[in-house]
Amino acid sequence: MKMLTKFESKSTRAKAIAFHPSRPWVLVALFSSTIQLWDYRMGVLLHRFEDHEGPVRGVDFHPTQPLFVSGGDDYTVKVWSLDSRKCLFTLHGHLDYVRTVFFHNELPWIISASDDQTIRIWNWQNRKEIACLTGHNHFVMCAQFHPNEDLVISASLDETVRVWDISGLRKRHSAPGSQNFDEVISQQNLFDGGFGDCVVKFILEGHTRGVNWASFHPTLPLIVSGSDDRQVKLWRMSATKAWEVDTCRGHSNNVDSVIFHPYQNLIISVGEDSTIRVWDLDRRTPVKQFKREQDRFWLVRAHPNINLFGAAHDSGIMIFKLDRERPPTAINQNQLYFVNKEKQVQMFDFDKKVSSLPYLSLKNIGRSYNTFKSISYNPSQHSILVNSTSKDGNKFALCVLPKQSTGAVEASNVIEDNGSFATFVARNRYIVYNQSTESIDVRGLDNRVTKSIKIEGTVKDIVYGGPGAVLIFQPKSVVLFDVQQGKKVAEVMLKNVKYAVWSPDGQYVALMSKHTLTIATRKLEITTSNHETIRIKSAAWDENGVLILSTLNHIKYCLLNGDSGIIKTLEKTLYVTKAHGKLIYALNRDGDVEILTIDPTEYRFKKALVNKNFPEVLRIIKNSNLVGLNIISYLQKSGYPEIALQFVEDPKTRFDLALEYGNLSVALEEANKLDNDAVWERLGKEALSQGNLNIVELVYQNLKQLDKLSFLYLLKGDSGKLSKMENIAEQRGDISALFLNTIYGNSIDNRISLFAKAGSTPLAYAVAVANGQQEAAADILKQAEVNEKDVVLPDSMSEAKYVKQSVLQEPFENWPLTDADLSYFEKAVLGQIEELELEDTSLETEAKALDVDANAEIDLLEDLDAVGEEDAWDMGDNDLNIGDDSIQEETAIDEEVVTGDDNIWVKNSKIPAVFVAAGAYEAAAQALNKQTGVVNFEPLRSRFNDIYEGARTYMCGTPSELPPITGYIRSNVNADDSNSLPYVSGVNCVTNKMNEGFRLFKANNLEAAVETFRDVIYTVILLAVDNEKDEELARNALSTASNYILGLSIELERRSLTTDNVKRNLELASYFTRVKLFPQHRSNALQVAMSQSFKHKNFVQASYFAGDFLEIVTSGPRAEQARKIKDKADSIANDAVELDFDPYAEFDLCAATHTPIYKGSPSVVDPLTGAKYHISENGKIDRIALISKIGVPASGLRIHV
Amino acid sequence: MDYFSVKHHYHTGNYQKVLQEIAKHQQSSEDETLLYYKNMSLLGLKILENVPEEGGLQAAFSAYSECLESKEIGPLKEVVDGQKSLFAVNLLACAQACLESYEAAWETCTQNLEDLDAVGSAELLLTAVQVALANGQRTQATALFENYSSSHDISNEDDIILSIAESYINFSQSKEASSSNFYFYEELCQSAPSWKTQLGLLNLHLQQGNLPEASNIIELLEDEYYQSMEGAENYKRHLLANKITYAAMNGENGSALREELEQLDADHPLAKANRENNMKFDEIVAKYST
Repeated sequence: MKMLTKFESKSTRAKAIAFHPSRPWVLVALFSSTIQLWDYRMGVLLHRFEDHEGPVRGVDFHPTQPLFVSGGDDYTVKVWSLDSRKCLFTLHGHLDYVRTVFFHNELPWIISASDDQTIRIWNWQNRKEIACLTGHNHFVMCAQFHPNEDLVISASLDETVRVWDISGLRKRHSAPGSQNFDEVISQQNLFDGGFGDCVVKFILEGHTRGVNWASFHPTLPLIVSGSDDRQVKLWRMSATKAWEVDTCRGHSNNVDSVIFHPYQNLIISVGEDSTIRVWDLDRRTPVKQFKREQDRFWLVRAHPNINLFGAAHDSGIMIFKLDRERPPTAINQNQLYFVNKEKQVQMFDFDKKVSSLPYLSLKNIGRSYNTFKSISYNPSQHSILVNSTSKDGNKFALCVLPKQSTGAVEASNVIEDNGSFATFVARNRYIVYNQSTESIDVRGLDNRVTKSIKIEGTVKDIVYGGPGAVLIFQPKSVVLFDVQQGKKVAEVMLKNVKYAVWSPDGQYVALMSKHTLTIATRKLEITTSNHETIRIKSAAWDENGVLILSTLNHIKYCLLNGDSGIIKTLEKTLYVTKAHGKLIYALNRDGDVEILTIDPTEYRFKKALVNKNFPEVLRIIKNSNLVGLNIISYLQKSGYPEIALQFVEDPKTRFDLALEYGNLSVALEEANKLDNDAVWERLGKEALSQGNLNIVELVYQNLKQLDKLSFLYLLKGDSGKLSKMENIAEQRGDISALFLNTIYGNSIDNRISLFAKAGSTPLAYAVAVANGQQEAAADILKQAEVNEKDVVLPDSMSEAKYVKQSVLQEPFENWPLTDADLSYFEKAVLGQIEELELEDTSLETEAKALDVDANAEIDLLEDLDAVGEEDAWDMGDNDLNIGDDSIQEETAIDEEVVTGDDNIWVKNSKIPAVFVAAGAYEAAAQALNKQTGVVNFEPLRSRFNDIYEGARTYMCGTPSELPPITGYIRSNVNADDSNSLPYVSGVNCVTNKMNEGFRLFKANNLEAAVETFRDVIYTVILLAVDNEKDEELARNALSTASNYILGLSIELERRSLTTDNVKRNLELASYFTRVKLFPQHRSNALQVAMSQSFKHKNFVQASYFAGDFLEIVTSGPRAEQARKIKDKADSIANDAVELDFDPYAEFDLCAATHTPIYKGSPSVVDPLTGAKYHISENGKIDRIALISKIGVPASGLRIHV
Repeated sequence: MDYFSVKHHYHTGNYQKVLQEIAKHQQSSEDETLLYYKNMSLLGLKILENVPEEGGLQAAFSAYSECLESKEIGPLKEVVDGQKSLFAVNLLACAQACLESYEAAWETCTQNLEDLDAVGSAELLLTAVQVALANGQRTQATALFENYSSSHDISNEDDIILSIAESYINFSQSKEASSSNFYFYEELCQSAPSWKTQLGLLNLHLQQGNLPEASNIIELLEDEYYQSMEGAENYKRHLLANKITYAAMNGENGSALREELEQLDADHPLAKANRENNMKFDEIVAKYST
């Protein structure tokens, strides 16, 4: 058991606390007279209630109303409103300190206990005291209502605990109609009439000092009390008597408060010895104790609904829970294994959406009060590793689960041992961290240590890190550690990471600490890191690579780029285990699986946007009601104002968005609607920056900014309009504008006349003289009656030379700009995209390629773990002188309908494998022909027969000479007829065959490898899978096998060539490198190409292949050889033989001729294998699988039942 | 006399024990039940000798034994026609079933099953159930079985017969494969291990897809102990058929095993189905290659 502190407040002495039933609030009654209201989740002090005089000793929230009650040393009971945060009224009556106050669960009553030796019950609705319980002859330290019976319990310093029957009081006050006059009168006279309503039922004597606290058990007839005699006593009561059951001794000072655990068989007590102690209710033995160094504890209280406790002490309060509530889980394919609250292992099937019966009970494993920290599941052994932690050292247990879940049987043949963080890393290996030696032990299933690896630094946890690897959580970093190689692969500096969740494809890992979510790549390179205010609890990746996480009270999403948002608010904390489509599978704290439906539109939209998947974005826009300022501002912020524009009608927002992405025409349209100066101003500025002078002109005209307009005309070289501006200025009598225009237009006459009219005769004269207008100058002198000799002009005065005649024949128009391409959205809106499908074809189907099962991948690639020398072919190169289509409706199966399971199977599924198993060969053949173009069936004969025979078994009759009885083998033995399907050997078979193919490839036995890969194809086309993961795996295997056959066929052709055919030899070697093989195998192809090229003096190509090779194989003798070849080849750098191969060109390979099909050349595809062919091969048999016809139309293989 | 042990040993395939049990009792040869079980056990061990001069049930056995060799049912029919013994009738029905005259066999059984308390009726019911199942008439088999078991107090000694009949029905309908049917054979393998019970359990494992367990039983039966057991020859074809199923379920090619079965017992339903399937397949190959 572990005490997990969730919140602590610091204050003066706290005497009482109360939990709000639904909100994360706690009231703290302080000795200083204050009542504090805290949000313990956020750690914020919400309010301080000040009205009591002197210490406050009791507080309680009303179970449903926004009220709370308090009582203190001022003899009063106060009722407060949470809404107004004010004291509503005060109840007077007690004659001494009030010790505790509590609301009744259903009636409008408050109970208070006081040093005046009474217990009083108040009606808070009419604010009256309705009962006064007298009998104790010392301070009453505590009084509480029974949770569901008409009982009250009280504890007093008179060394007794009393149980009171208050059923009379309820009767009187709950049924007013039945009251007679006398009762009404007596009710009014409480002191006289109240006695009969509340009678002492039991007096519990046993404590030898004053009793400080007594509590009822929530469901059982039990009472627990705590006393100054330092003892906790357990009492039992029946209808007629009550008696002491046992005493818990251990506290070394007064016990001040004691309660029952709300649902576990535990007692929790606190005392002035500064300890919180937990006791076993059944055995009355101490279970656990937590000590504060200095502070005396005064009260302990349980949250009414969730697993939280609060304790008040000398310097504040602490809120804690006993042990973690996270159910340990492990996911295997579509199954979730988890440990429920009863410590039983269960499995939840994500496909069927049902939980199994328990497989095992783990009650005898670990310590009885401790929950398990984690589990790890091994599908091949069907076993789990269970980790438990305790102060005395961590332990783990390896438990093999029964094949069928038949109920919580006791775990047998369990291997238990000391060690931490036991985690499976392979089907027959797991690791255990040994704290004492600070090393990771790799152990076999018999728990024997096969390897021990020293780990430096503190290790906080170890979790699965992909095949053969683990993630080690250290205080300040996370290390990806390869257990097989015993070395650190990557490290990232992150503090206090607690959980890791790998994406389905193993490419990303979400690392979670309390408040930080970090997404990193497989190499632990951080892609994003988000801080969450509320504690992060769990996460799971959905099938599209979106991380769905849960915090204490939210379900959220986080994209790889860090965009995140809230999907749903939670009332109770959930641990997300899987997210798929609109469904989220989560475990609650009771260990039950809950399935939540969410709306994934928002994050799918964002993801599509991030990935620039614009058709998807448009589809979501059209098909969902994704609107609101939130999304608009998101689009704007993300740099997609043009998309945001699609959502908006408001002219102002449209104008802003249009301006943001420089769409002047939309902006102008909206500006016309808005028509205000600020808008025109902004439009003018943007238009000017884009050189759109027409709009600028329009803006200046609208704004009547004539000076700017004149200047614009000047810039444009528009002398016509400039002279108009001059006229306008003249008409308007705007002298300064006119002057400016005469300058812009170089209108000497007008300027002379302007100066003259304005009375600036000397200036008019000067302008005239300077510009050679002698007549005008003379006129001015004449009018001014001044002699020319009397005028002194500056020496340097001359005609203005800055004015140049415009060289443009026409005024300058808009600045020429290249037309920007319309964005996808604009085109879509304008209807320029053909075949645009905007129907909601279900968002479920997006990007399923990511959804690859990690374990299956391990199986498929188990031989491909390392690229080493052992993968290399012996090339003999040492002498190199170096340096769903529904076709079933048409399928004829009538003639083959038989009795038994056969026809049920056909009824239940119509895929080829099921037809075969049912014996409907012709129907299967038709289906295969239509789906995949198969015409050459002979290679499938054996597969047909195997499937048929694998679905039947024969039991010998009695007597044995009688014909055997035929039994049918169903894929699910427990399926009923309505969903029964035949057993068809599954994807495991495919995986085994693929691995066999890889093994043969590695062994350089290419003919056999080709046959094996062909067998993979034959197996896949007659598979019957019932889940998408298996289907994905099978289809991947088909594609991989096809590629390998192509590659190996090329290599086999090359090997069959005569030595003089150098050109073809080199071409084939080159083509082989272009086939999609796993890097480990491609390195062989590259090595062939490199060696052959070098050998035949094609040095440029040799260098190219060597370069590619070195990207895959970086060390060892092969790499060394490649480096030497590259160096040497680079130094010569020419090719002796011209090849039909350009390493930089895009081309496919014709699977028949083994020659390139360059981009744009006509080609045909095989409907089964997807192999490409020159058009000349159309209609021939596919060379990869040898069964299908190239180029025929086909509807696509169906293997999902 | 209590036939419990005799019937139990016979129906669990422990023929030697049947003979030992019968030898213990030194009963007269007029006891039809003992005679039937003795001869059936001898047949099972392939050591039944013909005693042509004898009449009655013994003569029927001789005729039955010859019929199995010659595939000629006429002589047996003649011998049985005059007899009231349900055991003799049972032999006729068995012979008809072996010759795939299922309708005739069904008629033989049902016509003689009117008196449910007659000696040999449980054995005849078992044959009738097998005939119906072999003929693909699962409903009839179930109805007959339910009718018999509900209208008749099953004696302790016949319990094993009824259980076997029920197990056949369940097996053919894929019912109770992981529960009662499986436990029935598992229990028999514990209490009365024999070729027959092991093969029964093997079939149930196969039906459940328990391949490792199936493999263990195959290994066990291929072990010297079982191979050298008397009567092993009778069961080898059944094991071979199960091995073919096992190989197919494992994704292995069973061609070699199929050929072996074809040699050993060309009439085995698996071999027959295989021939029929290959003919169908030939047609497919021909159709699509043109």
